[in-house]
Amino acid sequence: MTSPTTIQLRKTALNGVHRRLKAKMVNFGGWDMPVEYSGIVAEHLATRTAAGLFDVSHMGEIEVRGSRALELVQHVTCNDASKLAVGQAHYSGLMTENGTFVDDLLVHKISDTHYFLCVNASNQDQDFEHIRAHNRAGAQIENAGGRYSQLAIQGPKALGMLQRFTGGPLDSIRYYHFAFGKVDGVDCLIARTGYTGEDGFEIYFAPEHSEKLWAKLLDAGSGEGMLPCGLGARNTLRLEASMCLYGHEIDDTTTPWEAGLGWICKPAKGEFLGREVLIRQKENGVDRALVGFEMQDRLIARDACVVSIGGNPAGRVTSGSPAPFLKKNIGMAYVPTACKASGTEISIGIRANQAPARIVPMPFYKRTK
Amino acid sequence: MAIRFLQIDIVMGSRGRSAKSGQPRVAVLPGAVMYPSDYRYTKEHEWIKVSGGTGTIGITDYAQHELGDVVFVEMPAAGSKITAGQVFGTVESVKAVSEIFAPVSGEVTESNAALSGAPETLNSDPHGAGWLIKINLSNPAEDSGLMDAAAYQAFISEKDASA
Repeated sequence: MTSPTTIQLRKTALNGVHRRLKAKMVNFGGWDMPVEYSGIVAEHLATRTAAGLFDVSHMGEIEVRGSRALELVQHVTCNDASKLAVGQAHYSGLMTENGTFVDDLLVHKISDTHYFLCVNASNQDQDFEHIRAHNRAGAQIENAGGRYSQLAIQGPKALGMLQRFTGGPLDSIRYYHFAFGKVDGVDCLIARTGYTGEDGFEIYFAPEHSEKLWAKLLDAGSGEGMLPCGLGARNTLRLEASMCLYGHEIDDTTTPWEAGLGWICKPAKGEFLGREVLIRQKENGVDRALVGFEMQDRLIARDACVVSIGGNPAGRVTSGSPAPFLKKNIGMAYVPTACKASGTEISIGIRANQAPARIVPMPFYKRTK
Repeated sequence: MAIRFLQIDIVMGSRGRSAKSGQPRVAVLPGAVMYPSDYRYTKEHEWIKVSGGTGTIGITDYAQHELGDVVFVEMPAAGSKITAGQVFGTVESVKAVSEIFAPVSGEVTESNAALSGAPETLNSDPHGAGWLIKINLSNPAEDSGLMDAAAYQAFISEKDASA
C-alpha cells in the first residue's frame, strides 16, 4: 500500500533532540513540534513548582529599523510604543483597519531606531506581509525568523537555573524588560517575559547554538525538577493564566475591547490602523465580552462547544481544557456583554449533555510573588 | 478508539491524529509479547477478556500512550446495551477526546467506579486496574474474530513503522 504524500513540515533546530527524547510530535501551524515528552500534567506541574524548558523557536521575529521605525510600529499596533524605554517590552496587537487582530505580539525596544517584534509561529509570514503593506513610513523591516532560535525557561526556579550560565545578575532584568548577554558564552537577547503565568525568561539566539544551550539548561535544571515541556503544557499553562491564544480568543473578527485587552489599546497615542473603529466601539460599548468559566461537574468543555445562558445559545467556548494545577476544568468564551458578570450560571453543550458552569473572574491562576 | 486531537490553534484547520514519533515506546524483544495472551484486541485498540459468557473491556497500552494523561472517563451504566462496532463511551485526556468502540455486543453489568476518582489508572495499568466495563456477551464466541496478542503486537508495530 503506498503511503500518502507527506506535507513538508518546518523544523526547529531542536527537532532531532525532541525526537530523541521520544516526544509526541504534531503539525502545529506547519511546524513539526513536540506536544509532550513525559506527559502534559507532569510538564505543567513542573513549570508551576520548579521549571519548564520550552523550544519556542517556531515563533516569528520581525526587525524594524531606521529613523522611521517607531512610526511604523505605532501605525500597525494598538499599544503605545513611544512609552517604551530602551530595554523594555510590551504586549500589543497587530491591527487591521477594522480594529481587529492580525496577530498578538511582543514589541521590544532595542533603541530609538530598532524595534524587535516576536509574533506567532502560524502568522509570521502574514504578519510580515501586513507590516510591509503598511510601511508608508519607509522603515527597514526584516522577516528574521530564520536567524533566531528561542527557548523559554519558566517557573519559580527558572532564574536560578539560567543564572548558572549567565554573567550579569538576571534579577536586575525586571519583568517585561530585556537585556543582551551571554548564556554559556552564546550571545542572547534575554527577556523576562513568558506565556505561562510564572516568572521566567525567553532567550533569543542564533540557531547553531540551539542543541548546546538546550542540553546545558536541561542538564543543570533536571536535578532540581526541570522538565522539557511541549505545546500541550504550553497551552494548559497559558489557559490557567488567562492568556489569549490567536485563533481562539482573538482573531481578525475580535477587537481588544471585546477580548478584555483594553489595557493594550491606546487611542490617545495618535493615529493607527483601526483607531477610528476602536474609538467608536469604546463609546458605543461592545456587544460581547470574553469571560472565564469553571465547570461545575466533571465534564470538560472544549474549544467551540456552544455556551447557553438561560436556555438560549449565547456564544462559543474559545479555549477549554482541564487545568492541571488548579485541578478544575476551565475555559474562556464570548458571551453577550449583559451576561458577563462573575457568578452567572451558564451551560455548555458537551456531546449530548448540557453541562453546568459558572463565570469566574480572570486570571484563573496568579502566581504568588 | 477514535482519537480526535483537539487543535491547539483552530486557524490551522487540519484535524486528526498527531504524527507518531516513529518509535515504539518500549522495545519489544522477539518472542516477548507485551499484551496479555488471553485477551483479544481490536484495530481500534480496545481489548476484551472473555470468561464463559462474561467479558471485561478496556483500552490497550498503545491507546493510553497515544492519548496521554487521562483526565475523565464516561462509561455506560449497568443495564445498558453495547453493540459491536459502535461507540459506547469516551476517554478524555488533557488534549484528546477519544470514542471507545464495543469489540462485541452485550449488556453492561458494571463500569469501573475507581476511574472516577483516579482516571490516571488508565495510563498506569490499562490492561488491569484500568478496565472500563464488564459485560454479559450476547454471543459468547463473538470475540474469536478479534486479533490475538501476537496479531495485535504485529498490527501496532506496523503502525509505528509506517508513521
